[in-house]
Amino acid sequence: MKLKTLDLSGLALATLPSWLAKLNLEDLSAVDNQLTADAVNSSLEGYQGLKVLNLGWNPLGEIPQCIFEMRGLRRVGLPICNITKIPPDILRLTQLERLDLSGNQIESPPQEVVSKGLGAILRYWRQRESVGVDYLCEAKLIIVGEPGAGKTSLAQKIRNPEYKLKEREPSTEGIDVIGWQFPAVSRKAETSATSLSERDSQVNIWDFGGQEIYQATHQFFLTRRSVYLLVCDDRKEDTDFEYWLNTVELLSDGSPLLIVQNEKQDRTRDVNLSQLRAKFPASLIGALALNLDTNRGLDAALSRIRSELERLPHIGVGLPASWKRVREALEKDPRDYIDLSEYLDICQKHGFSRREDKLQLSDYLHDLGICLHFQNDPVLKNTVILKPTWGTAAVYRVIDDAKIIAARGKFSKRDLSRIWSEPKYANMTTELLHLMMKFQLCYALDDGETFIAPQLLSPDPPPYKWDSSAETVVRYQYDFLPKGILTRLIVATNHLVAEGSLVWKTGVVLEKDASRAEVIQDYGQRRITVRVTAQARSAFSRSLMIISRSCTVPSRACAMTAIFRVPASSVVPSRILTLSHWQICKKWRQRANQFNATKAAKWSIAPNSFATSCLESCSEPTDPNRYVPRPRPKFSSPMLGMMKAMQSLTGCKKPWTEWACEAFATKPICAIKIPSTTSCNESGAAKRLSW
Amino acid sequence: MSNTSAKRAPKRDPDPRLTHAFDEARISGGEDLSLWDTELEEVPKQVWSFKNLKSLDLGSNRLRSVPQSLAELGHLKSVILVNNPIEHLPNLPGLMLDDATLFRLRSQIDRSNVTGLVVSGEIHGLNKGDWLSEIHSLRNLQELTIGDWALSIGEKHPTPTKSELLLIDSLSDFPSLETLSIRGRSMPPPNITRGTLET
Repeated sequence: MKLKTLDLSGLALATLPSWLAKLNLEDLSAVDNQLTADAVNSSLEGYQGLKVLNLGWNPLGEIPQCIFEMRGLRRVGLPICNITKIPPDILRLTQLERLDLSGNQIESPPQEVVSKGLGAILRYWRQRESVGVDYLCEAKLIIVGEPGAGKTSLAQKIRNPEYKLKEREPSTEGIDVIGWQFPAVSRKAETSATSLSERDSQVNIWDFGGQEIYQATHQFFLTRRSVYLLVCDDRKEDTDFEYWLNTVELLSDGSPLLIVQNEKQDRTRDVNLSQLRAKFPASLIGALALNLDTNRGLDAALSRIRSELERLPHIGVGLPASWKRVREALEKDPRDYIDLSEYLDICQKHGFSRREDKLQLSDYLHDLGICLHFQNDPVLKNTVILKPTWGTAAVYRVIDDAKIIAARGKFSKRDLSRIWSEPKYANMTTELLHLMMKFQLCYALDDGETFIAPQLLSPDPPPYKWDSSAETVVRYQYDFLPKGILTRLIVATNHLVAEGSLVWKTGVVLEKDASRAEVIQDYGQRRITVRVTAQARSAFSRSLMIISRSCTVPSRACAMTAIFRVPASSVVPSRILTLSHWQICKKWRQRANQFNATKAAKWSIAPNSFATSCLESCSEPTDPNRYVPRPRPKFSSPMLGMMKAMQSLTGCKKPWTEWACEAFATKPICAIKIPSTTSCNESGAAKRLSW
Repeated sequence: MSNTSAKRAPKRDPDPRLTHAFDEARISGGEDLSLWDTELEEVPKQVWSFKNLKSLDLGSNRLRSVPQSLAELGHLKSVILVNNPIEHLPNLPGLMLDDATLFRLRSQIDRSNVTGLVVSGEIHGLNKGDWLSEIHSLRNLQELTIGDWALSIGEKHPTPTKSELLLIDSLSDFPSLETLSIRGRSMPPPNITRGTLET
């Protein structure tokens, strides 16, 4: 019997057939059945020789123990199996190359580790097994709202109820971060309640400047795993609840939000809470009314905020004890930033030996927003920023600078040394400039000496010619258009800006070879319009792609991408497509269905086979929103250039190229939707920009 | 025939899906070419430029015939022809066919050339025994994809148990079989990917 590969998919099996034992298989798939972990254990116990095992789309509930006994396993696929834990037994699978756990809500190890892939998971467990476990009780409380609503007063009152309000609290520029400790009373599956009750919870309160100029950069700072407070001033009617709720829901991955009504004059303004709640069921969890002058309602508010903070999923997740020790050492360090070598020494002192482990920790702290360490940036990789506000304050100072505002966002290195003249910045101007670029707040012109901050550009377009006889137009209608999308597009595609100067605050003309694309944002209409002309045959015109999407916009609020092609040899009649959110969703779904149909037709079996090629695309655990079976993971060379642009724009490499390829394989014009990238590891670049 | 149709058709870009497929195959070393579902009516001539081609996927197209000259590609081991209205088969080893083609051409086919079979639909007019013996005649069969229902033709309620029985009976009859896929008809719950994924 030569049978090596067996696929039993979509058969509604509750147990694996007993005759499996007679076969000497290397590759077994039983995708889309009704298998539980127990059933798998009882049928596969002692089974050896498997190299590839795929049990995706089964209600396993946990990783079956028998898998850890199959020492020869190289690839394991367990997508969408209700798995929450990856136990340390994974270390026993020494041959393992790939582990697909997408579509599972893994809680242990922490998500930030899991999203980095198999290697990170193995390192985490190896360290935790060797140095023991400890718990990080650190959370982030983020206060947002319109200018003057009382955010800073609230932040101060939370930390100290006796705080005397100032007559006029100065406006917050950028972001302030203040610490707040309270004794934690924690629950959590992994820990017994007592082990945590002794320690303090460390909460960092992030107080955001409400001014519009800062709002465009919010996508970097509104992180998930945080509690949000939306402060509104009862005397004013200016709080745009929908804007803030949309923004928070979009960027924070469903983190809880409380509305805080600041009753400055003991008068309650009605907020239509039930209506808002119906609209934002995931994030809006309640409203608090309080008066900061008299402290009325403050106690109740504080206890509610505490209990929400304690309920955050990452509080109380076990970490290797050495991680916690390094974190504490860094926290006590008074410096704003340290050299990478110093950071590595600190790790060494606290029980680390391998460089890769040390870098994994800085990556983890970066993802949690505790420190900033951009490991992939050639300049910034040598600096670990211990106090993120040191960086943000410096960066905001540039955007707030009167001279640069007057120059419509154009500045030079000389401007920077003027702005960053104090000792704490002066030696770090190169790094800070790179930080600004990492935040997509500015880009360099060709001379390398002049920089543009697109937020400050003129609102009026410069004059330019546009040949509308051969254009294709795609218009995106957003349900909600977050701020800052276009400026980030401009930064990401700045090397394509036509004539180097056809760019203004709400639009840009891009050029590659003989093709031009004009992207204009209409914020009031929640619309982005893209027009493309292609005059000559070229790689670019054959496959011109424009993306009007920013990477931190997840699917729910119509993050979308247009990938379209202009057939160059035939003149395209001017064509306008208006695509609303649901149309795009529908198209995407249709495409998914088509894909399934063809894939199923390929095997001429009914389309059960989402998972037909699960293992072909078997990847390290990445995006739970990733639509798993992907044909054609490679792409052809003419597209590489644009792919790169797209990648740098979205920070999302693998899924991107795959989607793009799929889109390319079909109709001339299509718009596809990209599922949420919030927890995607490739979007790590995006995450990395945020804290 | 290809010339005339080319003249009649309005001049247009080569099908981007084809271009894409060729690019992709070239990048990955030129051993594997997939022209799956590209509405082909004949095998495109660029195929012969892939001198190292080992596997050629022509499935789900509109091919009526496949030229014997594919044999010039000396490394070719496998040609997937599933889901095509094929009337004439080349004398090539390594063919992968669907059941309909197998039965339609069974008088002219050299069964030793068939290494892969996808059993798709119900085969009218054949009972279970005939069906099995037909497949058994493919003595070089290496890859078989089959629905559970096809294994229990004639049974009213095909169940995994029954197919297990049939399968275990017939497995030993396929000494060269390396890959076996038994696939159910069941669709995954409609929102399994999106629903689960978005929470």
